[in-house]
Amino acid sequence: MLKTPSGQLQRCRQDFPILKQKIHGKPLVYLDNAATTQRPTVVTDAMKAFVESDYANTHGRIHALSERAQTHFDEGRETVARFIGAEYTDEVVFVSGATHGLNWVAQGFFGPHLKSGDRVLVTVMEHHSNFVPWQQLCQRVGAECVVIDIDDAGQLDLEQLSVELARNPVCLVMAHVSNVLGQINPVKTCVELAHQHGVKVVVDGAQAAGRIPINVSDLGCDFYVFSGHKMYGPSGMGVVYGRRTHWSNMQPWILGGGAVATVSAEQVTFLAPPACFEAGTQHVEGVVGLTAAIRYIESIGLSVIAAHERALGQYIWQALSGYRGCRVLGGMPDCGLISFVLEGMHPHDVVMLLDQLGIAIRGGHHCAQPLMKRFGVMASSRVSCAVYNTRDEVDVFLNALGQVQEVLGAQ
Amino acid sequence: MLSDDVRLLYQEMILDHGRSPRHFGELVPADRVIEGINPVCGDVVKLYLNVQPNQTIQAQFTGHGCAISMAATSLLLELIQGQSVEDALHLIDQYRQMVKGELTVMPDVLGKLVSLSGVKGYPSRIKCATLGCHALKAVLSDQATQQVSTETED
Repeated sequence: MLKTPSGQLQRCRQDFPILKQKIHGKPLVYLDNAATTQRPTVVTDAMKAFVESDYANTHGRIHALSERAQTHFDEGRETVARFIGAEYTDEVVFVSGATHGLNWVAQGFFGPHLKSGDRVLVTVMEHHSNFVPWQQLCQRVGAECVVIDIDDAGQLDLEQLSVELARNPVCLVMAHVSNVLGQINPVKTCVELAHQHGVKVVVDGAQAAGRIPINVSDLGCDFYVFSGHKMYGPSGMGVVYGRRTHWSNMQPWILGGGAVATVSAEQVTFLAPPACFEAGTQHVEGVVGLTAAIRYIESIGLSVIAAHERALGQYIWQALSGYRGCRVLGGMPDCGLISFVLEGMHPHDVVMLLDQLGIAIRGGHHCAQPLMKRFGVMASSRVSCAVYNTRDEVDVFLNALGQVQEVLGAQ
Repeated sequence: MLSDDVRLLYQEMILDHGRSPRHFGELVPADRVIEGINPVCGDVVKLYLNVQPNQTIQAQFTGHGCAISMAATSLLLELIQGQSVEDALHLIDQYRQMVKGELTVMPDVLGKLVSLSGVKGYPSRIKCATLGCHALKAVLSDQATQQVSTETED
């Protein structure tokens, strides 16, 4: 049985004004949270207040507004570092999003050293943003991009991983939570295995941040990357966590103002990390928004959010697993994120009909075409929950599937 | 409940051609082959054409996609078999106007393609309905074109 959400969870729906609208005359049921989450008023308000009263360029703290903006920026970094359990604040670098961050790690840290004959391990469930950068980097230098498989239930093939780790690859890149399967990958176990062989681990946390508690020190990973916009924060804002010891092996590579200490006609000296990695005027209101989103998440409690979403996800998974003509990809999810295929019906048609009923879900390949191929489908439909979704909404979605099947002609 | 408009969009003609597209399968040999892709949703339509010495068309297709993109391509290919290149280009032009809601009267040349006129009420589906005709127009206009994307559609 699904537990009734606590009073706090029921009330939190009021924090998201966008949810109070009708779509095609029906109450909006927003279940596309793996794509992006909606924002609570506290996030919008914090960003607005910053822009209207404290905004300036951060660099230099040379006047009162600059001082305030820098203080917001520094507080943001401290908040993020604490939120993900980083040992040091300077292990947090701000980027524009998870895609930017993963490219940044691939090209900035691994790129300069990767050479012909090297091996990079990626899992078959990676989002294109954590697949293509590595595939292309490998192709450019003549390295090999090795794909780690999963079983039909979506679990990583740890045997294959062990074999491949013993072949001395440069790194392992993996999602913390798959954006298609909603299962939590055993990152800590993988990191322990990888580190036994001296292999670095890069984790794509885009679907984990805001869904489940993250502690990078406990996971032991070398890099951890996520976006602000999937955790109730603003878009255009992302984070790269990197272990402090790695910064000394990484040359600043996006160069310009704000990253340098002194510049002459012949040479340059760089600021200390993380500033040397953040050239250019920073997205300070994005940092303010992300900070407010973290405070919002913490006011509810990540373990409360995780339990709520897991309960919804498992309820949906059970309902869809028993649904006539429905195939669910992967096993029971750990989060509120499930992908499915209605027999003989293309996800695009399914998604459009659900939209007509006010229900927003995603259909397509979810930027995970290698994984779609692994399951032998071209595309799937995906339903994904957030803190504000209710059991009633999920029931509206489940009941609507019957109408969709009727129109598209269940065979 | 789902509206009558959306039920009309998914009428039997479209569901039938979506499920069992006609002229489906590779054409060997084929003078011209072009792949049309919709990068937004991943739909793919690959057209195989022979343009005979008298300028008439023989065409087949393969691919995968939603009911709208499959049915639209199937119905289009059904109509252009044996047509001249000039007539086919005219048909494509009329069809594109229809799905964009720019036609008030449906010309006879559209034949069964009028069953897709409901697409005009659903802007997000216009690219599904025009994937096949976009590829067909490209390969009829320039036989060297091998791939087109709906994102470069005019």
